[in-house]
Amino acid sequence: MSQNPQKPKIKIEPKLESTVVIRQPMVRNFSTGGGHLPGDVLTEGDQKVVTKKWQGYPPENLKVVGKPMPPMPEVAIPRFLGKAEYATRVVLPNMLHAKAVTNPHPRATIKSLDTSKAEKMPGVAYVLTYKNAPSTYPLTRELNFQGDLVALVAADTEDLAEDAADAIEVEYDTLPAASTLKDAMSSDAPDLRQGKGNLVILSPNNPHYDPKATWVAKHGDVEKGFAEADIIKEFTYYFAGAVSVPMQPCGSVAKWDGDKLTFWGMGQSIYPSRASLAKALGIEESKIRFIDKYNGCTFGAANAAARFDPYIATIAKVTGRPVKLMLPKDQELAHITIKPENLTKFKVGAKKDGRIVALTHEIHISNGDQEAVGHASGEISKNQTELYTSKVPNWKSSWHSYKSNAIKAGICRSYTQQEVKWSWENMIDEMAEAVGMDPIQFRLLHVPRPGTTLTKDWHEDLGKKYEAENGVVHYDSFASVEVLEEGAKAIGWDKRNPVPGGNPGRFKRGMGVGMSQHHPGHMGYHDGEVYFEKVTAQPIGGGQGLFTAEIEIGADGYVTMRNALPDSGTNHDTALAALVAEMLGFTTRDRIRVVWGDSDLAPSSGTWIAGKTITLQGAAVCSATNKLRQDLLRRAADALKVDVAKLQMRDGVISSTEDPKKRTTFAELAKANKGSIRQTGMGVNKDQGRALTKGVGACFVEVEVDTWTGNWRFLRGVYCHDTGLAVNPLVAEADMHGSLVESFQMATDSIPWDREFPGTRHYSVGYLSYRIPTIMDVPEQTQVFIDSLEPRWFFGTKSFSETSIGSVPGAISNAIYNACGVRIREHPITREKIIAGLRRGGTGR
Amino acid sequence: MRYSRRDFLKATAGSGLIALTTGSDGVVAAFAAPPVPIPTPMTKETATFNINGRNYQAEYEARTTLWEVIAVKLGLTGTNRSCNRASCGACSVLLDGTPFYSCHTLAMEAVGKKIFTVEGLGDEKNLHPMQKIGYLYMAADCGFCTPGWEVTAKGLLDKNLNPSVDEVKSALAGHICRCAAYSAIIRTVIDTGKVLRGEAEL
Repeated sequence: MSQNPQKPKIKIEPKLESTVVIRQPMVRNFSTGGGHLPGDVLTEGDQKVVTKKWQGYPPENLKVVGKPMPPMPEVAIPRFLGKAEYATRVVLPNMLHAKAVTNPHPRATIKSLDTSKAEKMPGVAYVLTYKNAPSTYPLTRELNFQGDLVALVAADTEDLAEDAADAIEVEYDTLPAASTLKDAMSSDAPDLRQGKGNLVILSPNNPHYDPKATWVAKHGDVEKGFAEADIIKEFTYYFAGAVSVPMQPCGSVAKWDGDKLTFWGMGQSIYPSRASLAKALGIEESKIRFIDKYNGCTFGAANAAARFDPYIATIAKVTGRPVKLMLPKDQELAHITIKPENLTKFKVGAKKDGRIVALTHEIHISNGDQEAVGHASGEISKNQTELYTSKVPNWKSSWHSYKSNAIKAGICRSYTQQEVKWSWENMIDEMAEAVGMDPIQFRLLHVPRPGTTLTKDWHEDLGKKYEAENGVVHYDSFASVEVLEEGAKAIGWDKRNPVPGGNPGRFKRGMGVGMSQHHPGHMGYHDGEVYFEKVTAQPIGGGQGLFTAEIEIGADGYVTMRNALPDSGTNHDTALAALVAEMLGFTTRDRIRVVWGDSDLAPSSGTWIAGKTITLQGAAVCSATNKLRQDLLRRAADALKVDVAKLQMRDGVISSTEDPKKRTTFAELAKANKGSIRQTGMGVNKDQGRALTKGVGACFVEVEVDTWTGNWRFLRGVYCHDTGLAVNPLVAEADMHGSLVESFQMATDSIPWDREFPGTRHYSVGYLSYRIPTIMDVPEQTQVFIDSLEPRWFFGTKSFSETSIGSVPGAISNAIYNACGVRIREHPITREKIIAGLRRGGTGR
Repeated sequence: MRYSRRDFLKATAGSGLIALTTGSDGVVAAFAAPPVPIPTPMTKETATFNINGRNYQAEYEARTTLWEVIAVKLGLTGTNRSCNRASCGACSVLLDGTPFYSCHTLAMEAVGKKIFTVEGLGDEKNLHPMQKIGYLYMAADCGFCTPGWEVTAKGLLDKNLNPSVDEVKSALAGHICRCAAYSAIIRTVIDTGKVLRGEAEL
């Protein structure tokens, strides 16, 4: 190959692969279908509290925010060097390696347990079982799912620990089990809740109480609605469950120095994790240094593997040696939370013009081994149901959560999204067809828009919410119309053949759409706000709690941002650093450094979840930065004898707008103040914070079905997000690539159940039996960011990383139906189901 | 039944006779045969491992994996072990230029070979173009799979400095990236080739 030496070299620069950013006007009007009202202030809630729009930081003349940039180098570069500090990389002298013995049955009690042989084996230091587990954190003989923990062995090497684990003799009394949803729902199911029945029921005082369901909400008169309907249809859908599969093996390392514990964990928080660990060990939190800078994925699911942490710390304490656990995939998958199996039934009545006038929604969920309402909790249920019902006059939604001998349902690359939206998105497509409408037009008819009001029936607890007005709330920044219309343009919806299977030939292409709405847009309050004081006056429970950040200017003029939150590939500090840089008047991000992931180095904070970091940890960061900005201006005003109003801040220099010679720098001000200037900010997320600043998303997919074999390919995806102002489109694009691919896989792979006891244990021996998409499987992707400029938050930003995630499985199902006329109502989508549907004539019925 | 490397090794030892007498495929027979325990502990051996051009002494047993030698015994922890079932590629290293899953390569197989790990690629002060471009293109979200595919891609570029997209895909098909940074990974490898060929600059 010849090479032309004269040819100019290509410059390697970060660039977006395929992202369309749809800019929205700064001021919009509800009547034109988007955005917020003109004016500088927002009046919120019954108490008429006034908030300055964009918190006084409007999305104008931005230098850093909104620009595509690679992530913070101190966070991202170590990943390419093999130097990112995952707990699995901690190797300490004299360290023990732990291995687990787990329960092979769906439900059993330990009849006898003999560890004497194992304890005498070479290299074995300790065996932990229910007999010697700490009283503050016991292990029980009752085992409620396959993979439940029986014993932990610690030895000099992993192999020796595994040898000893094999030598532990356990006899089990097996008990009748309900490991699948069908079993748990059945009338002769074994009782798993001491006589209370497997269906979890609320207290009768709860407004959503129902004796036959876990959570019920209704509006209008459903019977009357159906009587008025021209078209009535009933549908049943099944979702078989899904798992997230983080790359990093779940586990931890514990090391004691006297009564001080250093703990390297894996999860999505530092302080809440430390608090749980301290409680389980019966020691003070301050005795623990909790470190978790990097995780190799967590997907929310890995948090559940913290169950092992107190045992690891206990073994380290008893043996006086550091202990490490790296769970093998099959054991890990039994302990991290999953997307549960669920069965959904709809009855929908519509008028001839397409308007839904009556709807009943009934969902049954296998919640796994936990005494909790789980997915059927109010906030979650509402979020998953209201997208298509806010305008429906008569509806009823009932949620049923069953305790079962399955893996715990919970966070798993979003909480409740893909598994619940599977049925909704299929149903909406089927109803669109029933009334003879285009699926996009049918959605546009029903989705809420800015200005749409939610009624009290949705939010009976609205009275308790701080910003409800006369018991109702409005959608505000909510790009429901734009995600549909811009996505349709990007995929070329006008070229779609509306007739299912209508394209000629063996290989048939089709397009489908799905939508989703999620809570991430919810934002908290930062210190200084009226509601912050109200919320923090009460005890703050839960992992979300109180978020704190510290921003400091050093004598070198550099800014240090201290955020405790661990990074799971989320790169959230990259976005937060951009906000700090922008607020302090920098034109680049180079002066910002980040310190994170260590309880010795960063102040107390909560758990990052649900893609809400930008508005929770962000509340703390922006508040601290705002205080620091005011502080610097005051100091400069004093030093320069210039009025604060006549000062400007640019790249670390504060100068007079009238006389640029009157200037000082951040570094000089810091030196004058003993070397640094520091401010702390706080944010809180109680009761989900500000109401209805939500996000909405859509996914458009094009597939090709081979009608001879049933094989199909995901050709193209257009993934549309209501982003607010996307702080860093480069990082956002990378994140959304993963979101689409993982959600696509959740449409095609359920949980790899044990064949003998379906619904309980993964028989996965690694990634071989759970087909995780490889480099060969990914579709061409385009992201569409609708920058909907959330008026309540700094620079118009809001969280969006999970708003669209639920739309994907339904979109794929709808595209397959459009391609070949086979409707798959029973998840997962497989070749076999497609070919069976084609044999039945392509209707799938 | 939980399958593990240890069970596999035990079963292979016990299944030799079956393979001989039936003439059937050895691997299939290994899974079919009842596990026959091998006496433990095994004999310890000491050998020299040549990693990234440096010689290291390490003690190992017959069953010790290469990953354990590299990451646990020698403390070169850059190589991440994920599935420990030879299916995800995170733990890949090069042996004489060919990528191997170090979680299922026995240490004894690597003795006398040139082992290449992510530590050989570059460091903070001297980033390899692949590391720099990967950073600029966001070819890693969580980064857990990154050292593995980087090493395999290095093996590819050592043999072919101008790979096509399909060649990159084929070379990296054995690597799972759960964050699905695949398209950025492909662009990173292709553009690293361009820099190494002198057609592009950083």
